[in-house]
Amino acid sequence: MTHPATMQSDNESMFRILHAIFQRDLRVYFRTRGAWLNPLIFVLLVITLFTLGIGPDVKQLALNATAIIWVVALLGIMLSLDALFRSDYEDGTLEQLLLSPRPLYFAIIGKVAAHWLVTGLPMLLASPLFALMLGIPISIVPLLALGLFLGSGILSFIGAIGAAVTVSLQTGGLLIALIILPLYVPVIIFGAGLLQYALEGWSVVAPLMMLSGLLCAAVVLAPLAIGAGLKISMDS
Amino acid sequence: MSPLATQLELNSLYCERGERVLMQNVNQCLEGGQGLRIAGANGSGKTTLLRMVSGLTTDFSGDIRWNGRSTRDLGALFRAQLCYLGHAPGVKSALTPIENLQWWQAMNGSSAATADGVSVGNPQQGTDLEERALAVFGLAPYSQMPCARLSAGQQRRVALARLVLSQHALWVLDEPFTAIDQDGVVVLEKMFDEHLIRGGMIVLTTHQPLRSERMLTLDLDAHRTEAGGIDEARSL
Repeated sequence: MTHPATMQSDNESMFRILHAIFQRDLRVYFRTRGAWLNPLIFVLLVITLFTLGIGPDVKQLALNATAIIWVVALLGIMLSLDALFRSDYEDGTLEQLLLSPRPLYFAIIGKVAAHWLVTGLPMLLASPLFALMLGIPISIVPLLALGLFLGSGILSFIGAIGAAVTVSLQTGGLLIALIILPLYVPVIIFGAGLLQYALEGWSVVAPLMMLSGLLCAAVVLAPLAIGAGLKISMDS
Repeated sequence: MSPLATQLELNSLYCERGERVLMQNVNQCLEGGQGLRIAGANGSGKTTLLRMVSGLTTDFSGDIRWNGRSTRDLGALFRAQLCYLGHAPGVKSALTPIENLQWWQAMNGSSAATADGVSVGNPQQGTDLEERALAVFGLAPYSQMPCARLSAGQQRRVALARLVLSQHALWVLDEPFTAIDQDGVVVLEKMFDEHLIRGGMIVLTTHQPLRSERMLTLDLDAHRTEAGGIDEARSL
């Protein structure tokens, strides 16, 4: 693997490719609505199933709300990740990306950031609805939205590692889950913790900082693993 | 334009897939202004050899040198000289031909070309450069139509239109004539000649008879072990 530092590294080149891929992917997402609408619908449906399963007892529902919301959001994002590199792999644009002289690291950040925007933003906007369905007090909605937005970023960047490694396999879906679900543990702990703390009326600074820290680490480090994974997938 | 004294060397390449020796002892030297046509039966490793040259496949022994330096060491410097067109055209079906050329330019083109290609350009209005490239392949009327609505041959033409924009010294083309009609073949052959006259290099696979005298031929069938057994190869 070529280290990004050894690549042609003028700032212009880095941001040009980041911007080009980000813009291209957003355009593709907006023309193929399923990519960003399906995870959101999935989350809404599963939350509905939970509310039906638990029954009309609002207290019971609110008790489990934090765990439900995070596990469901995590699954929704994970399912959407399977397609992240697959269409690029199939139509040959992934080859073109890997053969570009510009740094792959920034192309990947652009690509995953576009995915984060189209999955994370709808969830952020729908979070009042989630709260209503699960009996979470309205006062906590801003925190829920913020947590989901940070969390979906971490989930996208970490999950993209699994997507990169499995892109050349025919049946990647379940394998992605096996590879990345263990890596999602910290996100679940601090994400659900954030809501729990808020519900109990404690300070939320600690879990919020942990989530932000995890996001920074994921944005900086995950693209290295994603790039290596893509090269390995291509090399067969 | 490309430096005049360019040279591509393939030194004793050896590659096996599974239990089978795909090719061995492949040696070839190519100077600027020469083309190399890789011949061989189906499954003889033509595509693999192209992927080895481009750097997508690294699982082989022997080395490939560009101007005397190993392409693996050159990394991005070599990729800056390389224009690769694989089996899959590398065309996003949700985007229009113009948009496809624009993001490709942003990844590969010179800074000047990308400056008006992506950052500033109005997404609906292609720049002159890309419009002209599409016109060469008769795609001008379709430039604002999503590629999904174009035929397979037209999508291949979108991919080939990159060659018009290409400033790269080395073209690596996998079956460039696939799905291209008679007129297209004439246009393409003329472009090959012009590229070679400029001092460029072409490595390609095709079953189309080529008229150019600048084309050398490398027959992979001659580089296979007849029995194909790995033991036989080891004993050599």
